[in-house]
Amino acid sequence: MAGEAFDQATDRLVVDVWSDVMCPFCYMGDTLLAQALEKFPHASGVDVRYHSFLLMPQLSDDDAPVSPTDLLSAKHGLPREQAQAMNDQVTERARQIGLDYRLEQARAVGTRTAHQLSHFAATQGKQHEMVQRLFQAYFTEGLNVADHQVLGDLAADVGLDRDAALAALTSGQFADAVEADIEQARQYGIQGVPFFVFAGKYAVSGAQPVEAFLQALDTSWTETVGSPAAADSTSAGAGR
Amino acid sequence: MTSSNAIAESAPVVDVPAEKTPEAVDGGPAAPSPFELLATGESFGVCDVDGVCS
Repeated sequence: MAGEAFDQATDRLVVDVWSDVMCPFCYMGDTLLAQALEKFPHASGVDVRYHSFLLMPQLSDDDAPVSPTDLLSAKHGLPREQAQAMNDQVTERARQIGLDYRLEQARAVGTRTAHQLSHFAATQGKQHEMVQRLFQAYFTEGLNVADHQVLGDLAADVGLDRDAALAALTSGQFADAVEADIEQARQYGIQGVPFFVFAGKYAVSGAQPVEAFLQALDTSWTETVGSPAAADSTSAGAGR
Repeated sequence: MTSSNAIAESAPVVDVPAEKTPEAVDGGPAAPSPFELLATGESFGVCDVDGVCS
């Protein structure tokens, strides 16, 4: 059932990931997927594409940053202490895989612009580096990831042209791409993130242990790139 | 792991809907999906659209 996007490159396994910059399990999931790929023997044949998802669509990029703990407390009517305890559990989970979450200083904002930067980075072959830098900026450094100047700095940190990145954000060049991702997620019935799709066929919901990602990679690789049909197709193409 | 230039912008195109997702891994509400949801063990967690992460 692989779609047309995969028909164009049968020698590559594509992993599509829906996530949000402010999603704590997305950062963990991406890190765990990266760890799985380090163990996967065909990692050089895997492409990971990141798609936009808004966990807090009520937040505008122009809104003043708010504490995610306060936001969680207010939205669900929880005592602040309870929201803090939930965040502490998430922080501990992150620590277990080597991530340093400092949610007490995180600043929740609208993330549409940050997602646009991810799409810009994709055009430069730097999307994974950009996504990881955005996660770190939000979860560890307490930066405002809706601020254009901050985003420009983050782009430069991963080797992108700062001015070109800012121009793309200012012009809204990738705004439609972000909305298209969000709409695609809605059509696919994606109700939570991170959400991983392997080879356009197999889905994994949520951050998973490395072993689970490895299994998903193995299964999807075997059925697509590593299948006899794919090998025949590749050799036939090579002979032209 | 690489992030590809050529195919970075498009989401997977699914031409034939397959079986529907019976239930989200985190135990959340059933959601129609064109993908086969792989069974996994204990999930680290997932964040729902209502902003709750568990």
